[in-house]
Amino acid sequence: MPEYRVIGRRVPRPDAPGKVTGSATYVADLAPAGYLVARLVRSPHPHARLRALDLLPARALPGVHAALGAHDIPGENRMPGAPDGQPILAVGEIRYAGEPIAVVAAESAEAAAAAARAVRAEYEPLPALLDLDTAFAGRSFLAQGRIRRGDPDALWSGCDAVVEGVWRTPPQEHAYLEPNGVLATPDGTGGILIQGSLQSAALVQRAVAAALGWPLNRCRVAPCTVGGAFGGKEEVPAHLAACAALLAVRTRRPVRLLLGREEDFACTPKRHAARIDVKVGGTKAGGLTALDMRYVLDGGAYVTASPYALFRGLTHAGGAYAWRAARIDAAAVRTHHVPAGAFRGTGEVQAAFALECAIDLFAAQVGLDPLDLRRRNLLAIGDETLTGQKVEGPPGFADLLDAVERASDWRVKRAEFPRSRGIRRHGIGVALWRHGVGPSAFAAAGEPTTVEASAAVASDGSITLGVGCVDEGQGAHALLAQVAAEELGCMPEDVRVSDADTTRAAAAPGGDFASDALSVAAAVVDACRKLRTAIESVAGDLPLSWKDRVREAVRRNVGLVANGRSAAPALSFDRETGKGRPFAAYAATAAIAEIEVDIETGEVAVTRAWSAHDIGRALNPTLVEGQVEGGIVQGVGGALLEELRTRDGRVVSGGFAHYAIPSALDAPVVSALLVDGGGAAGPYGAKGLGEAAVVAIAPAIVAAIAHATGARLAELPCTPERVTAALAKAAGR
Amino acid sequence: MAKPAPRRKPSGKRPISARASRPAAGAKRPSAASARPATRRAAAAPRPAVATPGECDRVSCVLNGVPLAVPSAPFTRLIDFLREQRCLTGVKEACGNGECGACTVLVEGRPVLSCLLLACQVTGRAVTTVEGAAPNGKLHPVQQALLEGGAVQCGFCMPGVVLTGKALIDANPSPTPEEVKAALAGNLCRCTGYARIEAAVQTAARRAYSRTGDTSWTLRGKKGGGA
Repeated sequence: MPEYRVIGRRVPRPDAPGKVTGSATYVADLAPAGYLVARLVRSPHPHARLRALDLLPARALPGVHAALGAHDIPGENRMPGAPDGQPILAVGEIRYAGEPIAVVAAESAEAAAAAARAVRAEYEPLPALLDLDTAFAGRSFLAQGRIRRGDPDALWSGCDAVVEGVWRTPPQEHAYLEPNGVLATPDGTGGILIQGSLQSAALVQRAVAAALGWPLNRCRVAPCTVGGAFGGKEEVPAHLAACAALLAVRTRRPVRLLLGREEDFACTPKRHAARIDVKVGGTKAGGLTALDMRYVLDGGAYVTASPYALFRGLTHAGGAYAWRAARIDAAAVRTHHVPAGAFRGTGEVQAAFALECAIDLFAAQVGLDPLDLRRRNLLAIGDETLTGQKVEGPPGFADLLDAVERASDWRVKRAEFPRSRGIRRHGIGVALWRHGVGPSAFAAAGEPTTVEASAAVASDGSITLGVGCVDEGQGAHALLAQVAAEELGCMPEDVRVSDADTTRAAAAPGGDFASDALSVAAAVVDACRKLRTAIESVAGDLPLSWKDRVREAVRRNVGLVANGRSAAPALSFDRETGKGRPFAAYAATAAIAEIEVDIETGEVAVTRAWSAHDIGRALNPTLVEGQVEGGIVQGVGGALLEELRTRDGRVVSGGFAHYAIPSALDAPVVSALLVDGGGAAGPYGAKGLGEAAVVAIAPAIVAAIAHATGARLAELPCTPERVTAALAKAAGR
Repeated sequence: MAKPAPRRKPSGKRPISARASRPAAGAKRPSAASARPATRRAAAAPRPAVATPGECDRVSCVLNGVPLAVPSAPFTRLIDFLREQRCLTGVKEACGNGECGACTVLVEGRPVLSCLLLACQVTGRAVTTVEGAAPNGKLHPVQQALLEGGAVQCGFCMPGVVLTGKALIDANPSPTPEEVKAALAGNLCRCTGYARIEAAVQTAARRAYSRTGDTSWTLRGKKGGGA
């Protein structure tokens, strides 16, 4: 394996000093002279007809500069690429509680709040569809898909053991520490500047241009430091920016639109709630043969990310295993909940929970160690996945299982824990998952499939990269600087990455799809190699330092800007037939959770977690470990604590007091085990990671609870109430 | 010895509201004395719970070591006073309800939530924000350890974490891992999973820094191995 100078090293992040000293600039820290405070007026009803909207009482209040409704939108009242025409400001039909109907701008937060209250809206409430099962029965579909291999029904009778069940997961809030927010500033030359906390500058740009009816080049988007996103800052900032831009153009003043925490909880997309029916059959010897899965997501009121979630759930539904026959039916239903969106491990977290719980149940049924059972059924090179894709190489599932087994002392604990008596019982459980990385066959309308990046060398040798991916906090930009330094032969600190500013950034998907380490890095490599060739053409043989080489190149009029591209490989997936090659490369993760259950109170604590990942080469191990540790703790939150509650379609658990995310006291000791199984996907043999870290821990925790107590939970989160109920059920059997 | 209580667990409240204010005369004390973290002293003396009449339209305190007396609208929250009137935007607002710890500042060396206090309630007190944790650009040991340990991701919780960590090791120079966890329980972080943050606070404490003056910190190792 080739050795690198900078790649693979723990290079410090350039953004970290500003973050620990408080000087990093987030959107709420921007307060240009004369800025106005904006506020959205939102429907209190999940489903209603908006009969009348009177903005005049708001406009008449002191300090109020504008109050706008759908009719004041000069361009298109439609979110970019929304196939169902999701409006920016609702007209006619209201489809979820919290849907914006108007937007106001005033000189202070108090005046803006008063203006929002003064807007008179007349609603005719309509019956709301708020239940996933009812929506499914009524065939209220946003998206559907299926996979077929053989006929599982022909195999059940020949199976020694068959297990089936229904598994459910709740809506989960991203709970990024920084709420959503944007600032729109007219630039005085006929354009507008959007700054904000956002993941996809390109999406925000399209939304603003469409709403204003302006060409894209008059709408500049320059993201601020982003205080966490996890998939939750894609559609929302686009929506907010369109509203703020309308107000800024109308008032000719900077307009800042920040969401409060409760508003952010109540009105922005969540992880899809799901109901997944699984039936698994196999032999006494532990061979899995047949899988039947019905995978249903609650997509909420609008399409948004549901086709993407469905794509990911469907293409991963078979897990890491070879099946003789499988039938997967997937659907996202339309309800009157807040639209569901992308969230780290989109669509996969739900599928992984259901399938891995079923596998654990099957192992118990046939009396095999769940780790051994998995080992007997792994996809191997040459096998076909459920979508008909040939397995060409790693990930090395067996290596991952070996790694977590060894590190956790699995055999001993598996044998000893069930003997423990008393109130506090211990258990240990495992789960495994296969995760497609890099470019996927899923392409949203208008989303470019080719990623570009630029590299520009200044006359003093310092370098600026122009990339379209935002650093949401995971360190993507630090990584790209490392890549450029490796390619150019300079130091990472010589490289600055532009803040995904649309005036400099080339086309790139927006931070999602965990493609930062892959597609964007590949484009950066391409750009840097072109630059290096150009510089070496004039200074190749001279024994010069990087800076002297650049000086020589400048002296000889060599161009010092280069554009790089990375084209997506040929990929395809047909949701009707379930066939295709959805991803070019796969990473994988195995997780083991060790837990303690108080059988009197039903409280569960995850004490240790081992999370092994085949991510290829770790470009910067510190960043990778940070992703694993943070992902596991998010997964623990999803498994034990987090459930967004609604009543009559309205969110009632808004804010951290009613929706607990893990604190330092809830976080287990996490061991990140990095395995390089080979099978290069991106430059230097890297694969994406951030998403996979969160996927496997919840089923491992549920398996550990079963190991400790015999109680099997089928719904997340495993609250004390649910655990107590499951314990009672297990005792009664 | 009063220690910062963890959020939600077990009791759910920080002991701040009962010890918020005292007569304005305190602001005229020498800045050096006020700037020194004075947890024990501050906790010992009983003080009136609310500002006396006439005080609520101005703020006089020692802010990051500098005495200050400025008018401020009544009912201005401390966080708004710091961010909007003093441009100390290192103070972060993430919930506005005292649930997340992002807005943590130190009052007399103890961590409090600036979204739950009125500005006038710090009258006569020494207030430290993250901008005051690293005077003269020299990083506090907690900040240094956070950087070295790769504990920074999105960074929004970091100012609160820095100040909570500083307050802990000022009050308790050799905390146990459990004490570090308990102290940080009120500072929510969604990115890191906490392990690196806890390790950084532990590292900073272990380095057993010594004080060279009222506001600057020197690592023992850099003082010629002595101090």
